[in-house]
Amino acid sequence: MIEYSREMFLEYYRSRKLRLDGRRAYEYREIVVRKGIIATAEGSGIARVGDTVVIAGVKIEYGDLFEEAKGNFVVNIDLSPIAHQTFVSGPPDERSIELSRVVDRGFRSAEVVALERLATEPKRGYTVYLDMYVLDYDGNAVDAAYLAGMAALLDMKIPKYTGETLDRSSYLEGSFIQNHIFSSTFAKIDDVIILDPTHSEMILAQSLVSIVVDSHGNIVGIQKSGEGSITRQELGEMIKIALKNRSDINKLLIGDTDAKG
Amino acid sequence: MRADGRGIDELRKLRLEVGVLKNAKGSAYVEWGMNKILVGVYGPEEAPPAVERAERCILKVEYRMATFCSLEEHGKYTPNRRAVEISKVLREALSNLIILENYPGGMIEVQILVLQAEGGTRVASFLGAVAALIDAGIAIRDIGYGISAGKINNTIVLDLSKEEDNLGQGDIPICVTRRGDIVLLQSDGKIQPEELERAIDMIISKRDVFENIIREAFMRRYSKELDSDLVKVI
Repeated sequence: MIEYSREMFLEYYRSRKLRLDGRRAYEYREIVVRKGIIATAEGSGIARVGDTVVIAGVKIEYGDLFEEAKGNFVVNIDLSPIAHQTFVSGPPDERSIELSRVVDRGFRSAEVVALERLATEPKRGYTVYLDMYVLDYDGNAVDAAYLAGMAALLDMKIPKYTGETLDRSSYLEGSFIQNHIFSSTFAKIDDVIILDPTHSEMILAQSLVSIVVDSHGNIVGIQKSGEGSITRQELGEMIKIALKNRSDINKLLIGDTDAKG
Repeated sequence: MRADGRGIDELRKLRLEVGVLKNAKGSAYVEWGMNKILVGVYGPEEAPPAVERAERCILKVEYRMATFCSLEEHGKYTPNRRAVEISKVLREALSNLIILENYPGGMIEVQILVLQAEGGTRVASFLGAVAALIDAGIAIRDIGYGISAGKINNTIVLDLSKEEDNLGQGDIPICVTRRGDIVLLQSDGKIQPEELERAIDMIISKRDVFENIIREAFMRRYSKELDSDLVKVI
């Protein structure tokens, strides 16, 4: 990890209009997404954004429903100690809980999974567990988690409930995914707004904003964190960029057909 | 005789890659049968203030299973008793290999995450940990490897798959150093003393196979033959 001061970053940026790793303000690092990499899961995906890697797996269970006529949907993301020295095992800290909740919110608000179709009786039906593990970390786990999670859901198959058990070798017909979502995370360093911050950039940032949008152009989740503030104009600009990023990210999600057991 | 047609001492398909993580000081990825295991090593660095400074380096080993690593139900988020036990026996086994006296007051951390499990995860984790420690440049006395022996139809076989483990009469995971010392040994089921001898002989006879697997993984890493991008390796 490269460490530098805020002054260094700003001086470099103002003179060249480039970040210290050579990127423009609204430029993503390299993104690679794959689906179907875990054979034991009912859906899986892995995404790399720069040097941040997140793996996502879906497991399906059958049982009581939390809400009437609606399948259960549980999202969790683990800042695994394998990914970074500052991630520790044990009960999740506030950073880990915030991340889980931010990622949960987008999937839930956008109704990515057709949960109504996962209820088989008013109070009985399927539970979708979407669990993610950060495997390697260089900032912006949120966007990588959304990509990996979305990839895992696109790969998801729902095993048939026989009336007694889940038969994990035969699956329900059709797709249960009805919306796609895309997250764009920005960092604000003094008055400079950048997309997809690295860990070093996140440390310098006074504010971080993740904006999640869906296929229809709705905003389905926002999280601002950090002790700084943002202006309304800056927020408007971020939303514009987030909406613009949609088609590029969708190509990465749809384009991947590389699946193996 | 075996469900998947293997000979009695034939291993499942095994693949080892090193240097797949950027942040960890050393890392390894093991595919063994259907197992997919990722190991990251951090340190040696100064032990945190809460930990008593010792003459020998402190070794921390954590074995965890992803909630989706089993074909069966969704796993628990917190480590179960089995994971705690495996972490302990792996730590003790690895303590034999690492020259802990070289790093007084220090701490080395070995993080193991099982992404997909199919029997024999502890011995596969041991192999990954050995490779990741070498990748981290940590001083070791000797390399090591492990294989899970088992008993099926009163015959000792090597490298039980999950299916064989469930149906077999016994499961004996053993980890050894290259010179043949036993550093991890567990036995579950009814085994005759001579059967245990046979299992140890069979495991020790695989020494060259594992030495080559480890060597070739490092040759791929340093010859740049391997695209070490985890997303593509996995």
